[in-house]
Amino acid sequence: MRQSNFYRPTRQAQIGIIANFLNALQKVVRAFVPLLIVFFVNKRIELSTSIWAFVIIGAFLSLGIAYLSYRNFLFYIDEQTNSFIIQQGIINKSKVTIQLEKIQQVNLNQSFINKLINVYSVEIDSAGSKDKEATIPSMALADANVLKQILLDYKSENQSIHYTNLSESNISTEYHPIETKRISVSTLLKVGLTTNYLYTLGVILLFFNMLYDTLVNKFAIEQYVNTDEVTSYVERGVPTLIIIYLVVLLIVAILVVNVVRTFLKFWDFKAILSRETLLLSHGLLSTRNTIIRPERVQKIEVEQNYFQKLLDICSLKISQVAGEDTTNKKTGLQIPGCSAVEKEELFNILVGSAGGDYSTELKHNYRFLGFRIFLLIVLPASLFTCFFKTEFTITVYSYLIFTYCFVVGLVLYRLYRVGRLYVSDSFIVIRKGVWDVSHIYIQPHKIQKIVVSQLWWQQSADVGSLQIYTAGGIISFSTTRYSELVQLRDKWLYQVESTALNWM
Amino acid sequence: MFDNKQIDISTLPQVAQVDFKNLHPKYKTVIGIRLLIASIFILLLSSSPYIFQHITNSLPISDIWLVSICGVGVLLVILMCIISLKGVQMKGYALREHDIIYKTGIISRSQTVIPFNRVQHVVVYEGALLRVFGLCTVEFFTAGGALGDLKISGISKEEGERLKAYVIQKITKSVKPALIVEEKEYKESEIERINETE
Repeated sequence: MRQSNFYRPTRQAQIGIIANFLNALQKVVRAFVPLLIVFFVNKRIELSTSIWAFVIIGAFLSLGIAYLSYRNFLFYIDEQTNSFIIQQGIINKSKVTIQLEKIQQVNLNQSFINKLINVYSVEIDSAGSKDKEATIPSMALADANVLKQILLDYKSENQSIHYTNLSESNISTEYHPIETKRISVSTLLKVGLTTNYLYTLGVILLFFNMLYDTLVNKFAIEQYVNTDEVTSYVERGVPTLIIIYLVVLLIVAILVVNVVRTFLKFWDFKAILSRETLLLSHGLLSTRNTIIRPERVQKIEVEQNYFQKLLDICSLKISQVAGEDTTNKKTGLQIPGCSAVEKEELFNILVGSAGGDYSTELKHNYRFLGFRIFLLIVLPASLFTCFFKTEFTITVYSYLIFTYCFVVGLVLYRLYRVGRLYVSDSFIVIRKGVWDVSHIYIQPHKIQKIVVSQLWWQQSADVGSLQIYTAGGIISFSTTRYSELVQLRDKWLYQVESTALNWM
Repeated sequence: MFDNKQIDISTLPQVAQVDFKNLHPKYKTVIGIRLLIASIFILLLSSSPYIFQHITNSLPISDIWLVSICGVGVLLVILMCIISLKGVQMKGYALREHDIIYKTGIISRSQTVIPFNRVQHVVVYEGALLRVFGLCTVEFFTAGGALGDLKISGISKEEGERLKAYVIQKITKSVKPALIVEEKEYKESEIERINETE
């Protein structure tokens, strides 16, 4: 029973050495990948014995480091000071002490390497202002669960003692039943089929471009293909069948890549609600855990496109306080497939109901289009005319210009039509987007700074723009009625300054 | 006790009614000196291809292009000077009981407001040039990240320190709002003092 006695200095699971080793090896390999690629591309790689010796020495070195870091990693619960202590480091030793009553969450994570050797990393999240987390990289599942239970039990025992003085209602809220929500495979499939077309298209094109480049370099394509023949073939006009074939191929490729990407990222998505925090975990190859605390949520973005509307799913992006460096990486997080009802529930947990009376509704002024048309259509088109006119025949040229103007114009018009600013007493909502229409929700008391501005030629037309700075990012709404914005600004200032609610 | 009175939005205090206080007059001199240095650099840079051409006689570019580069440089300098010097006049700030307002702008006119109960800390800087003229820069930091702060440059040193002291006192007070009512009169006199100095 040595393992479950965490009151004495304890080491991690022995198999963790392998995890450490693999992690170190992975880092080394990653560091040398560019070098290796250069070698392979230049075809000058000669794996002489000296290089193999380096590789072997490197492997031994990482193994040694892995072993030493295992030996030097100790954790235990100090009963005298009621704290959890982690000691680590080979040369630079460090000791982290966390007060037991401040421990907020204990999470078990599994990265890909951890999954291979079936260990879990234990992350301990404390409630300090710095939100410093401690991590035990590898523990067997049974031990990890025991440790988690001990750490969390301490907290609840402590609280139950604490709460005996208080009213009954407090206790009942404290022992809130733990709810778990999952996103099913079919929902993920729907998400994969309906999102991120442009992004994936870009990735695929980039990939083919790279592939083509390497192939051309490697095989000297001119040897096999008569380029003149191909050019003349293309100039005679490509059969429509081939174009259709290519388009269909591209669409299928995009959908497949999208679905695979979504599955990799969001496989087994769980949202667990406990102790007034929301815990998200997802991922196929490596499981990622993120904690959301309602008071840290600053901004929620709900995104939905036309297809998703038909299927009744939307994605939520939640921005938490972008504070210390350690938490920065997890400030923006995403819940991919929610139905309208689930979205409602999440809102209730995080920020309260988003319904209510949106008494003020602002649209963009038509001047919204003016400057953007100049910047995105007139300017590029005239530059293009200046520099490249001579390189195309007049039909190709006008065709290009017309297509560009039409597409960009359509996008701008859609942006102009969709853009809205809704204001209720407890929410500021901005709607924007072209295909993916997103609603951004923030609460007035989370405003840090407000800027209203107008360009001098907009003054006579009563047009201006608004920017709101929060700890989770900036939101802006441009070219709308300035006098209304000023009034809203004064109202929000009143709300911020008179409220007792803190932004965090 | 909890009360929730109805509030008429039109009666809320409006930022537009505030009298803004201009930056210190000496700040214009500082801006002038900065502009001078920047202008010399830009003019040197823009005329160097022309001069280089005449010294070496080797660049195959026609004179019209080189002169037009010079012209662009001169135009840039003139525009920069006009906008910066006029811009100083347009800038101004005002303190209210619960927030600080800063307005800027000649092309884009903006009003920035930071409520005191969102300010995290205040810093007073003195650049070398500003110190010569007894001026300083006051920066108010919020939790809104790198862009969420407010920087007021070109106010006198004493006033900067006073501003900082006042806001910091406000921050510590907003933690315990019960004190606000008691010291309200003191605060009002403080605002008047800051707004009316100079």
